[in-house]
Amino acid sequence: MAIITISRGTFSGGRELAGRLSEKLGYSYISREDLSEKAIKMGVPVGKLQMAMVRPPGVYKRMARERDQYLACMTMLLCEQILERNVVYQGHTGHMLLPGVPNILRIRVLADLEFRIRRIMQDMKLNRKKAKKYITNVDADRDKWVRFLYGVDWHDPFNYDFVINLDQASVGNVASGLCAMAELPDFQLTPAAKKAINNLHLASRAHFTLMADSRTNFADVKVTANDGVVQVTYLPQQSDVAPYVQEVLSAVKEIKAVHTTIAQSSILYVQDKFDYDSTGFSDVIKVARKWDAAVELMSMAGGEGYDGEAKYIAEQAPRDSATADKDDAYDGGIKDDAPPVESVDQNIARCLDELMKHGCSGGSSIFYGKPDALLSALQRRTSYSMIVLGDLFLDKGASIRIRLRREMKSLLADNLTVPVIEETEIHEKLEFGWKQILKLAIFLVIATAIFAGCFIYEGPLISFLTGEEYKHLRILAVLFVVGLTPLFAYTYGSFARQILRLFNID
Amino acid sequence: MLGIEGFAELNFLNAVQVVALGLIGGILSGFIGSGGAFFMTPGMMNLGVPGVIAVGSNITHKFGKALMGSKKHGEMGHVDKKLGLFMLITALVGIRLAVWLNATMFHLQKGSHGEGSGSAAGDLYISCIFILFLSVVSVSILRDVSRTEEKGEGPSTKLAGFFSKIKIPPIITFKTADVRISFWTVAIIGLFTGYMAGTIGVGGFVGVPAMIYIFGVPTAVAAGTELYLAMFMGAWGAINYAWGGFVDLRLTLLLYLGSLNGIYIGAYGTKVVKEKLIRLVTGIIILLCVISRTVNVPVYLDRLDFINLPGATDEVLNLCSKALLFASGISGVGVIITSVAGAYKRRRKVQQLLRQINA
Repeated sequence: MAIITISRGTFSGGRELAGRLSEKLGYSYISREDLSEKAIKMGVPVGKLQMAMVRPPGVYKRMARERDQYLACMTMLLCEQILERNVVYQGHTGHMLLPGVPNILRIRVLADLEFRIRRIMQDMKLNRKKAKKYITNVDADRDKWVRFLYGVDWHDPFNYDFVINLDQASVGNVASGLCAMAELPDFQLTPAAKKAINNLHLASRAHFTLMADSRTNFADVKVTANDGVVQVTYLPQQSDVAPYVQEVLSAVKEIKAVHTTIAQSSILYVQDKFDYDSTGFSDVIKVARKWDAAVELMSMAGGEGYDGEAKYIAEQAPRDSATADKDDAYDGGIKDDAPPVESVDQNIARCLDELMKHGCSGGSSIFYGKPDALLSALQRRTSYSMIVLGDLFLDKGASIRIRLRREMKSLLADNLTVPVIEETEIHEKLEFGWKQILKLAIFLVIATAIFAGCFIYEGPLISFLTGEEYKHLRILAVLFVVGLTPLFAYTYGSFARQILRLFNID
Repeated sequence: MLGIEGFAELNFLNAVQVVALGLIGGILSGFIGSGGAFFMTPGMMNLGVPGVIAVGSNITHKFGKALMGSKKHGEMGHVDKKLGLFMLITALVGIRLAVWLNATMFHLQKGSHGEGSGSAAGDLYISCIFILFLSVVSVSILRDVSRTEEKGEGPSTKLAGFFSKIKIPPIITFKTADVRISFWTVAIIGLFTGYMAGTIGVGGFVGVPAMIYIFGVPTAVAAGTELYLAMFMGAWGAINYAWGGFVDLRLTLLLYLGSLNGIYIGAYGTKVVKEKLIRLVTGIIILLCVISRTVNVPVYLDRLDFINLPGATDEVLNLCSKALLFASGISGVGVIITSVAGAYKRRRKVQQLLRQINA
């Protein structure tokens, strides 16, 4: 079983290559257009979304719900095909429709502008100027389309396994070469990948079902699945959706159980091993409850010493509590091509149960690969409100562990527009001990001194700020105003915030 | 209640009222995401503070808050610094123009600090700008709320479509906001934002909608960039007003006492209240603030001898204006707190339901 995805610019020869490759390998050829037609018949406003691309950014940026419906439907349809047969899919960064699925052969086809212009002039009977304009416009629309759907630059070669320029090689020869590549074990779907596709299929089907029903289609939900157990996360403002989720999803026969969580945002908690009894874990729960956030647990199964080839994230959702106790170990992960990580899974399962008790479970995942590969994996995933780095690099000594964790923090913070913090920092922020009391007292003293000073000496102060006799010192008056005001705002503001925190208003 | 050279004489009752203005303004500010000047500035004017000093003290108060807020937005990646800096170029000119006009109007009457006249000309000018501009803002917000209710879509995009067709060079690309706009469009919007920020302290009501509706910037980036811009505009406004001797530090500190508590309470409310209700409350409160200011206009006209009000009518009108303003603020805060309480009650019920479902 295999999946090959081909992305291409208009008239670059990608369509021909996809067709030839599917013939040679005996795979089914599916294009984005085929799936789009099916999606339209299922009620997805594909035309409306595509038209929005040619309008100002503000228009399409407000169509997030339609985009989610489109993605859920396309993923569902593509997974249906993949589960039945080997597939060559031709569309814009098609592999992005299958997040978390490893072993996909991702190909990008390029061609020289002159080559493309000549082909358009031939096929569409356009003059050179119009042909060039056509390419520019279509490419620009596709850039926007891919960025809108997946938030990535599809020209970036890091999104692909092979980038092929068809200037010199013929389509037939390139297809022959790629056949050999496609036969490599690296691009064969493993049982783990098949499981990931099954989970993705169920999640996307559940998501699409929710978006197609008038009782639930107003909610911005995130859906994950594992072994028939579906996790639905939604915003607290949309809690009206809660009573209907079960009923609507009862139409999907493959679903064994549905878990629902209210979440304003999501926090990614990355750690080597999870312990539901640890201070760090309870601190993260405290933050999640304050923020109404769902917590996604990600365990690093690789580490610095990891020498396996696979680098991916395997989606998991909470276990079905009805069947969990019957299992010897929590088997939600994908671990067939990686070292056994049973103890990690059991810990994660306990943590997920704990998160569910607090209504903030966002599922879990396992990352196989070296830590530096985590960045590229996270760049392809849903945006998080915060990333928390817990105990990492446990196989290293204490000082190396601190250094590596700081390096990882800098790497993620510099490249992802998400706050990245260490769990010890959360503890410092949540802790309200003598250190915090002393800090608060100092802030209060400074704020009180400024306040009292301004009112005790209000006459001289106002004269200094406005009086004619101090006109020669006006520049000092200005500096006094612009210096004192932020100082008071900071000291008093920090004090007020900490006091309100004590009452859980933060 | 003019005291030292036209500055407000602050007794305990007045001080409490200023703190209350700060608290209500802060809650509204945290809830709506604006600076709260639309409530605090007229509130101070109702207490007898000359308009120019109310604006100067409020813009200084806003500067300190913006310094804290923009750091947070910067960390979240919601700031397009390039867009902010381009808008700032003309916004600074707009602020300078606004301060000069406010100061000129203030000095039109007797005395260097409006003594005797109560700075009626300046107050009338500020009130007129306030009424004209904020009526447009409130009506637009309320229309947008009713329109989106009918169609079930986001805010209107007609303006963005129109302005995106303007291709007068130089065209500048703003990467974080993901837009390409003519420099001249940015410059004009920056100038107007600066002018409104300098005149009545409500630059955010120009900057944020202009970035969303005219430039097509995502809402989160527009809000973050405005806060970043507000830091510099606030600093420049504070410097200009302080240079003219129009900042009453006592008022600024009293406003902080209320607003720095209120802002967290208001922001807390946004977590559980639907966006449509937030916009509806914003539109109604601003409209009531506008009506409150309009009630005071005859008082200024009387002081300038354009009309003659009988007996103690001016005091009655001022009292009505003040009552209307506080009523609008308190009822707005009431709606917010009731909504928060209601939302949490609903949420508790839903969580109970979820526990039953998940069990």
